[in-house]
Amino acid sequence: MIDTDTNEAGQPVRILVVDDEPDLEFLIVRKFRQKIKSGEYEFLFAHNGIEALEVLQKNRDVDMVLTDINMPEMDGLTLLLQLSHMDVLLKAVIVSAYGDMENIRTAMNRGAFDFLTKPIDFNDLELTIAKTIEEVRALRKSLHSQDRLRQLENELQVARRVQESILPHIFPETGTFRIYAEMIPAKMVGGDFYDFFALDENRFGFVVADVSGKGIPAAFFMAISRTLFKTTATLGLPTSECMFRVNRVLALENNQCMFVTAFYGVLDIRTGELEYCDAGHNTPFLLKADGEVALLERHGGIVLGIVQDTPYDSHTIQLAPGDTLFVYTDGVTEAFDPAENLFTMGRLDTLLRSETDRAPRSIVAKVFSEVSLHAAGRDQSDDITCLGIQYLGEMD
Amino acid sequence: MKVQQRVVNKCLIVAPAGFLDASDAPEFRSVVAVAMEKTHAKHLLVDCVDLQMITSSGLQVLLVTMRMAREKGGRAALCRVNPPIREVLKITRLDQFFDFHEDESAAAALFTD
Repeated sequence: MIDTDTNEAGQPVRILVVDDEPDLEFLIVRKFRQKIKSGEYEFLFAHNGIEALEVLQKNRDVDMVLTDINMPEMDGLTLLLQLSHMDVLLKAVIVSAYGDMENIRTAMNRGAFDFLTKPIDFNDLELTIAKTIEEVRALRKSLHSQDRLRQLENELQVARRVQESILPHIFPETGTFRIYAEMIPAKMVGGDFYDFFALDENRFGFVVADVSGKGIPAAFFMAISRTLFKTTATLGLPTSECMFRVNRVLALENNQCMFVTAFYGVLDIRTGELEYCDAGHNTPFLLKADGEVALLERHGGIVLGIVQDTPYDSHTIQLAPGDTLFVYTDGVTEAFDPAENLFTMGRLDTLLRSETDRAPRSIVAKVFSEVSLHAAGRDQSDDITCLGIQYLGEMD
Repeated sequence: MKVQQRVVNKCLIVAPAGFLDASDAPEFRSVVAVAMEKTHAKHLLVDCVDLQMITSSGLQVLLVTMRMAREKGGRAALCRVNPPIREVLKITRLDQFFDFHEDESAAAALFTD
């Protein structure tokens, strides 16, 4: 049996009956004697609209109002109007003369939940009470969920700000290199990240990573990975050794098999030498100053977090002054348009080839704007991260 | 998502169809977990013939199901993987981790002990 007669806390259902007819109170108490005795129902009585409002001021937990229409001082229709201005969660049922369609319509327009006609059929009244209470319960429950939802949304907003604030937003530009990056999460919080840091006077480390999955679990893993990466990288180890150590820690007790793809590069800002290692990440593009565009050779190993103690290898190349490395996550190439077409690697390649400007900030902006044109308003399904780093040449 | 399943000896063969992404991953995980429990299968073969694309959430759930088989003392493999998914596995280098087979019945036959 559905429990509609007592509410969750075991409190009785509270019904306010408003009628100037003195007999009604007696009839109701007699009819519902059992339920009143057992504590399922509790009736309150008022003899006109004014009295009803007074009772409601004192008893804000009333679930239902059953009101007559014609009463002295304040009638039932006016009471309905007043109820809609009160901050109470209840439903009103009106009692009208048989066939009085005009008043019934007015009452329904003013928010009455249902109506009964005189003379009151008590079985009908009982059913109406049960139905009304069920509605009030559902309403309260949904408002409660809405409250919780709003609260969760607020917490997510905070999480988003925290996540944003741990990614660096001040982009160094020295005479010898410049860097720019941006991450746009698909949901409120995301699993992509970028980071960069000076390892010593000459070496500048940068990382772009993508955690598997999305939303809150990915965001947690992102925060762990990013911190682990930074603390390991700033030891100044070779990129392959850094990957090896980060992987070993992430692979411990990783029951959910979450993983991270990452590209880690270290630029010698004096000489333009770039050492890098990738862990199952999309291959970055090298945009040469002379106009050539090529993918980096792949060196590294499997995604981080799955296979413990697996080796990673690193590789070193020489950047020429003006060369830019473009690192991104698959949110770029796997961005959908409204017809479910992917942006694709081919399109990214074409776009990068068409660009002559090698400034990291303008390349990143260009890619984001093309992806957004492609998406044409379709919801972003994955986090998107782009990072550009340009070697400008030796200082004189 | 549609997941065809059958058992050959002690090997559960599941064939997810379409897109394996964040929205389908939990369902795929529970389908495999329930089927392994019910059929007392020890090994797992994921037949990818009808799998069109897979996201990182999908890869993650594949890894989780592989782990389930290994925890039962069994082995796990993939078969009939199409080019787009091979490409994803190549980029992530998870192709080094998964055991691949071209032929479904031959793969299942390997796992009969």
